[in-house]
Amino acid sequence: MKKKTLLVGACVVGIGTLLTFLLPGCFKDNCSKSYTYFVPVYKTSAQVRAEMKSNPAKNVELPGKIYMYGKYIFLNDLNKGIHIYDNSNPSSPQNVAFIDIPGNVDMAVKGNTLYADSYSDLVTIDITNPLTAKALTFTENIFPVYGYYNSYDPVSGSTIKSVIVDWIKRDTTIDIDCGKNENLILYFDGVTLNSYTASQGTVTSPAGIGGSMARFALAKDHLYTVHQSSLKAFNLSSPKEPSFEKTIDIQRAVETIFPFQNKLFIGSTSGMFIYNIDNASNPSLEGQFEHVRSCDPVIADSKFAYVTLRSGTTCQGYTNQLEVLNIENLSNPVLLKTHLMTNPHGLSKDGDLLFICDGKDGLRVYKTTDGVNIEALQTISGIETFDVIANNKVALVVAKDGLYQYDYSNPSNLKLLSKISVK
Amino acid sequence: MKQIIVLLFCGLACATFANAQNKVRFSSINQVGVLGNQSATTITFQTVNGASYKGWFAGAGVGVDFHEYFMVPVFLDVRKEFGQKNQKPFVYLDGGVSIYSDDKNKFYDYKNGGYFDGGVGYAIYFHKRQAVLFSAGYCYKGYTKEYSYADSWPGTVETYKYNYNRLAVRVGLRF
Repeated sequence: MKKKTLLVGACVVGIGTLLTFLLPGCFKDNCSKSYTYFVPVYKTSAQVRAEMKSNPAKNVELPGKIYMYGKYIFLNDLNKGIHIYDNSNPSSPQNVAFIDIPGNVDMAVKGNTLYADSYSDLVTIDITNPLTAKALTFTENIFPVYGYYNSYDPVSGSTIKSVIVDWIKRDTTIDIDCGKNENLILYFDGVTLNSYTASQGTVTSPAGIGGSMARFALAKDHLYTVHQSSLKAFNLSSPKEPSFEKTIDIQRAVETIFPFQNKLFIGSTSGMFIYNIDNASNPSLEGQFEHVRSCDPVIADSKFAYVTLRSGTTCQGYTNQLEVLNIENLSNPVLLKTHLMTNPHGLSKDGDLLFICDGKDGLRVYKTTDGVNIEALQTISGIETFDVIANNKVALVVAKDGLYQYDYSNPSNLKLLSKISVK
Repeated sequence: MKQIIVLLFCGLACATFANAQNKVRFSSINQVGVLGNQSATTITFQTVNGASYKGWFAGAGVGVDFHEYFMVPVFLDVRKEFGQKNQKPFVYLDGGVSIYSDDKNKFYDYKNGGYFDGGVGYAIYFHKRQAVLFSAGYCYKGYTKEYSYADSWPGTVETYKYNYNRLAVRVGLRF
């Protein structure tokens, strides 16, 4: 019996060994990578500039930064242009026009002039009548990171300036090695696009109101812009012909700018910087506050600065919180309190109400009587929020799926007035 | 985590059931083996604990698989032995979840995948309820990781799908 058992066991082991070495060839691992790449659509710069005017209204595709000016809302469609809405009735905003501005991410409005970036250029657009807006001047190559393409025209034998006006999205799947392959490749052909963040800073009349994530700010007859690590100042004494004055190297990756009184609050990935613009043509560093690596939109009032730190693929870091700083001594901002958040983006303050876009967690509404401690009043969930402007009891909220407007007459019970959906 | 709790509960229930009835007995299967295909051969360990009754066995198992990536399958196991002798052929079927347990790159979102194993084997009993097991079958494990370009290209996600199809040859002890 034992012999038989041993024999069977030996046979089984032998068969198993054979299987181990022979049959594996019948099996194969199967690993794939699915990704999206974008094919650029080009136009000549002459064509693009000719179309930079009020065109028929379009649906929103990728809502970016927002700007309020009078009864109008200007909503950036990332890298495509600016939608103009007549918001006379916030419950029913009317989509009245679209200005084609390829490469547009930021904007600011002063008087009847809209300032917008278009790749490397600063464009001045007359919006006296938003329905017949038209480009007036172009300050070329002022943001050189986002440049034009130069292509050779074999017919004329000359070089043509080309601009990417659209991207055609294509999805594909390829087989990959099933081993440890951690290469990250972003497949696209062309310029690096800006981060998907909404825009910026409050300004005094007659300028408009922007969100906290803006990179354009208006103050003291000047337009200030931040790109990469630089702060640029443009003199707007002749509003339709901005005059570039100075570039200041901040030496940090700058993301947002917020003007308050005679100060510019600049958010970078490693800290907040306060620039004094008593001499508007020559902003000077007055104070700074270092923090961990993170994205950090900032807003401020006379006593406090509110900084949201968030993690993410662009921002890196792991911190997600609201920091309240005492800025009474501008040369030495002091951290007063930290409030934990999920993934805070833009924020806005109206009186003792604080509105924070907490990414996928929605819009959070807080009351702060002492400016430091916050009391949660309401969270509007179910929307992925990026930026907010709270003004005159109406909160404009840019979300992944569109632009929302809420009545916050009762801040504990916001009422949805309207939604402009992404289509 | 939910699946693990459910499986542990099933295992516990099986053991309780085994103690409660004379013909149903607790049984533990512990195996070591190799997972091979044309490109790689890796080692696997697993333990399955449950109840046996009239040649049937049902239980919950957990394993450790050293694929290119370290993975932990958590599964339910059903098997049936044939015959009355000391040497009994059997078939088995496992199904569950494969938990990615290797180093994680912070830029990716890792998602566990499915686990399936099925095959035939041979049990050689050297005691009333103790046996040496030999088995061979097909084993599948998978997982997915995603990288989101949401900050710069909204709605754009890079998806990596890993599907491991292997021949599983195991030897083990049942008691």
